[in-house]
Amino acid sequence: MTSARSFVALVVVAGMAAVVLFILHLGLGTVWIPPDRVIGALVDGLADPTDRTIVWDLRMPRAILGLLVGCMLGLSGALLQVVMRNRLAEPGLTGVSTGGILAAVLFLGGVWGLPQPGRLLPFVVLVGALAGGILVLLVSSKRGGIDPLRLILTAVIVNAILGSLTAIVMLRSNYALGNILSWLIGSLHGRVWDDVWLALPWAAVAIPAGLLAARAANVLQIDDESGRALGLPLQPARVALFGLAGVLAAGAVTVSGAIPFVGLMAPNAARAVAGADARRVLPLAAMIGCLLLLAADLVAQSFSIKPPIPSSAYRVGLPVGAVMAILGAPLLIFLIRRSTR
Amino acid sequence: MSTHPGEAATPGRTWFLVIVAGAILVALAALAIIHLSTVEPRVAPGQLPGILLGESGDRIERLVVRELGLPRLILALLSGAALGLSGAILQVVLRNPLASPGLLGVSAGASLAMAIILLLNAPVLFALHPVVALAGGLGGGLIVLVASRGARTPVEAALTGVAVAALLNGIILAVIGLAASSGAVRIFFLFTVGNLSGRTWDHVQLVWPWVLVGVPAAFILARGANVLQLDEDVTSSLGMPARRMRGVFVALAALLVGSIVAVAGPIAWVGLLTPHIARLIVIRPDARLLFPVATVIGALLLLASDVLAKVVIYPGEIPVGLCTTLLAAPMILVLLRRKNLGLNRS
Amino acid sequence: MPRRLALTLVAALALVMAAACGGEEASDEATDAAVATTAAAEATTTSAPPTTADHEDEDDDDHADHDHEDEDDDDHADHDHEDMDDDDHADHDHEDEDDDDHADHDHEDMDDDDHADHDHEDEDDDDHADHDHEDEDDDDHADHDHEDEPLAVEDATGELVMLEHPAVRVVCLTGLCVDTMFVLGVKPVAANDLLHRDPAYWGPDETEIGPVSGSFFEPSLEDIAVANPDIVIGLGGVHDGLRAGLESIAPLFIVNPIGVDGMLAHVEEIGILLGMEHEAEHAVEDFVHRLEEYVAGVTAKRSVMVVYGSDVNIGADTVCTPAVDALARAAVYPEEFSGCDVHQPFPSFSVEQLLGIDPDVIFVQTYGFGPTPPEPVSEQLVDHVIWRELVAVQNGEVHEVDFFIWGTSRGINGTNFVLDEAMPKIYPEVFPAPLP
Repeated sequence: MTSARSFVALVVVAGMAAVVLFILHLGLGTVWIPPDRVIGALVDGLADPTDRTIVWDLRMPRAILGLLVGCMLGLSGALLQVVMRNRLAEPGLTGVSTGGILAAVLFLGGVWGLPQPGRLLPFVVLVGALAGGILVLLVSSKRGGIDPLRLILTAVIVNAILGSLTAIVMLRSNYALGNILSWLIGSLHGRVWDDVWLALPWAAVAIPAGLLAARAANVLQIDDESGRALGLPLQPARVALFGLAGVLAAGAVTVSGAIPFVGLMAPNAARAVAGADARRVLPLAAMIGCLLLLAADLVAQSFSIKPPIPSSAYRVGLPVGAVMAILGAPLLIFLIRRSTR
Repeated sequence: MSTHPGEAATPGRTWFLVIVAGAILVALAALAIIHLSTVEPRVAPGQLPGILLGESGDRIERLVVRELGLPRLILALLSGAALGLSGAILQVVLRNPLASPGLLGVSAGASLAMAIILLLNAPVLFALHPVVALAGGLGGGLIVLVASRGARTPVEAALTGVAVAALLNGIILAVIGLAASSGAVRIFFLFTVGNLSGRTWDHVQLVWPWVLVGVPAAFILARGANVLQLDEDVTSSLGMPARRMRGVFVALAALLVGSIVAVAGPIAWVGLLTPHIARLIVIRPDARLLFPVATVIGALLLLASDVLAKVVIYPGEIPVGLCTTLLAAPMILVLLRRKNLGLNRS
Repeated sequence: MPRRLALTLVAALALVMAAACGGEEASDEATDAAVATTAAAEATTTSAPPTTADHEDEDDDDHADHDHEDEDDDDHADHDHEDMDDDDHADHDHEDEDDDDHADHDHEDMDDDDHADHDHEDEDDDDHADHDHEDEDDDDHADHDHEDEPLAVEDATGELVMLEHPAVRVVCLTGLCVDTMFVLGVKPVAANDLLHRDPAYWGPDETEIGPVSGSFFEPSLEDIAVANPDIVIGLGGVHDGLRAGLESIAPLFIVNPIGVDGMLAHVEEIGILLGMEHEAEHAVEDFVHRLEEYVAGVTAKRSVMVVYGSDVNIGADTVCTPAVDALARAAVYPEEFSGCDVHQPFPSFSVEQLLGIDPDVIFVQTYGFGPTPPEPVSEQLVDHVIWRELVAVQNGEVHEVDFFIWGTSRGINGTNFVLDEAMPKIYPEVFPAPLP
């Protein structure tokens, strides 16, 4: 258990790292802009308009979304881990993301004959996300508690079913196949201020609420007997935290698609450095989520290769979700191994 | 593990088995007829014998039934049988009720290999595509087996497979990003979910030698598999080279799956579900009985899925892999809840 | 202004987090901050969408009914391919004729600035002579004086795209755009594939057209910004999601033309956006004339089919594709692929379906994206039992065609290319060589 002082130091370090990554995110991209011109574009409204467009209108909102989405996913994962008492829980591994995406694909594919999504989309995603999560919980719940790995296994199977349904919807309206594929893996490409405005209300409500739920989370982490002794209505608290995790995930999935593993890596890293106290784990998980996603999106935004193919003419990059999958899968294996020790 | 392999069957069980076998045969026959008559253009079931054996029907009907319908039917049966059997083998010898091609990274590995070939048009001879898919599948399987070494529970090993699959899928997406056309992405997608559409005798020829060797070999070796189900201590005290034996079985399963993946793509969940249904019928954990039953059930399951694939959105067609997921995955969930899939053993 | 707000909110969030980290004594502040943030966020939500709201009204303006009436779905659905020069095109000709002077004026200005190498110059002059501007009937077209009035054209997604001035710098995210630019004689400033270096276009030496990196689905917005375009042209179903991202750079015009009519309407739309109605009109007339000539030469129609893909995974082109629609007017195209569902342009298709159709001639596009050319589908299928049975295969009337042009360019130049390649192969006696 770290002392209060070293915890503050951790937060400061993480905050500074976030600032550094944020600045790098503004400075690096497919187009190289020298640092002095980046600063010029930031502070001087009369700077070169192209610089200003790239830095202000493209990189800045994307960096902010990296922060917001990372926070939301990290915090959502941390809350799900508390509610499910499962170190492996995260939106992508509990049916939450897949459910949200199926709902979104049905919605966007026009199955319900609705016009352009706009601000309704997050709510649709939220309904799907909660439905997916609840489905997994219901199917895996048993008298005598849920085995953590069993829950994840159930979620994997449920994900496969939801994914197949998504695929059928996709095949029926195949003209958006590539887009929906990049949705399924998650991407921040082309996200701008509009998307910031879309995600911000959700982040602004759900992130503080999630952080303030730390005390309840602490109670839920201990066994039910002691929890009841502390006078917390356990079941309602659990439902509330689950709902909150769903809101966080829905806000993130709506703007970025299902970016995997952020919600898994962040809380586990937080717990590894700060112990079990939710008052520390939750904010740290949110911050680490930011760091992870900013770093991964920095790779996605600025790293590209020229494939050795004549017809694919120019340099190509990865969606951020693919970067996270490649980074996150080894950690998942490690956590699985440790969870049974 | 209350009963022992080789224990004598009671007369009641025998009758039960006979009835079940009869039901399975009837179902197989019925599905086969539906499957054959749902070719394009549709053929009436009553005409089938004439078209297959005699000269009735016009040229197109004969061609479609004999050259497309029949090989696809046989391919569905062979694929189902091979997948079901390999699932049973893997579950028995790895002593993991969740072992299956899908959860061992085989499917993801094969998909990645095919993605590289199809989307990047890697300089690989067309005839060698199946071999590359097989190599990719084995590579994926190897990664999972290494990564899950020392896994203590079946779920742990299975989830390791899930993690590796996620990793490989990330790389596949990177490869898809390189492709310049929606058409190519669509065609690749059809491969990754598993598909039997348009396959002919050529594809059957690619598969049947492996199945013809693999299936009887597995049946003959079933006694050895029984021994592997026992505890490690017992096995070694029996003087059996357990590790080598296990290796032989895993290779056998890979061989069965590999040929199928190369022709039909990674068809999901059949390998996982089939042995559990077979166990409901067989009850005793005797591989000598389990293997044949799993073979038949697998064939039945895939045939049913393929019929669904052909008729659900007619005149369109769903890739059969999506059907097996929608059919088998919910059953796995039910079994996971009800019967626990035997996970509590270990 | 909103940007500053965003930064404030992010700062507020950071504060909230810090407060929560700090411990319980800070929680009051945190709640306050949270409430403040929420209120502010709601304020932005409500004030956000003024831009889209106005668009409705604009629809009623004269711009809209310029020539897009005939683009309605009904027209395409029950379109009869036999009679090719139906009233649609005739209408265009009349309506737009009186724009000619304006168009030319603008256009000559542009030539001076950017398009020294413009090749339509001579043809323009001819046209001045040909056209008599008698029917200057309605004042609606007064607003084509682009010097003063903004341009507005509705794109394939129904979005009204507005330009202050005719576009000069165009970024192409689809081969169709490159094709239309080529037809109009304007080089795009950047493109995301290399169609423009094809010999059928500007050729391999073309270097002025800049790159747009990133994948087909996620083209780099930064590269587009650097190209400093007046308009970005993207493909429906693929680039729809980029509109918001491009907002600060240039308007996004989504194209998704269906059939020949859609393609021609598309060329005219682009003509309006570039202030080159006249050139567009001219190109359309040329094309219609050429197609008519091809169709008129055919006495007994043969059946044709265009397929693409690899091995058993093949697809069939439908008449949604302009080039195939053009072919379908000069030949018989299978009924199964004569329907045109926008959401299903490439229906699932298996080799066995080919057997029931058994076309006289088959054109095959083999997909391949690698460094080495792929083995042609027709060779991959040589031993395929159904393939062997096809009349076209037995008569040696299966033709491998260039998938780059057949598959990716859906414009006038590409369609002409397809016709010139296909017609002599379908009707060698009638057209021993392509029409001039």
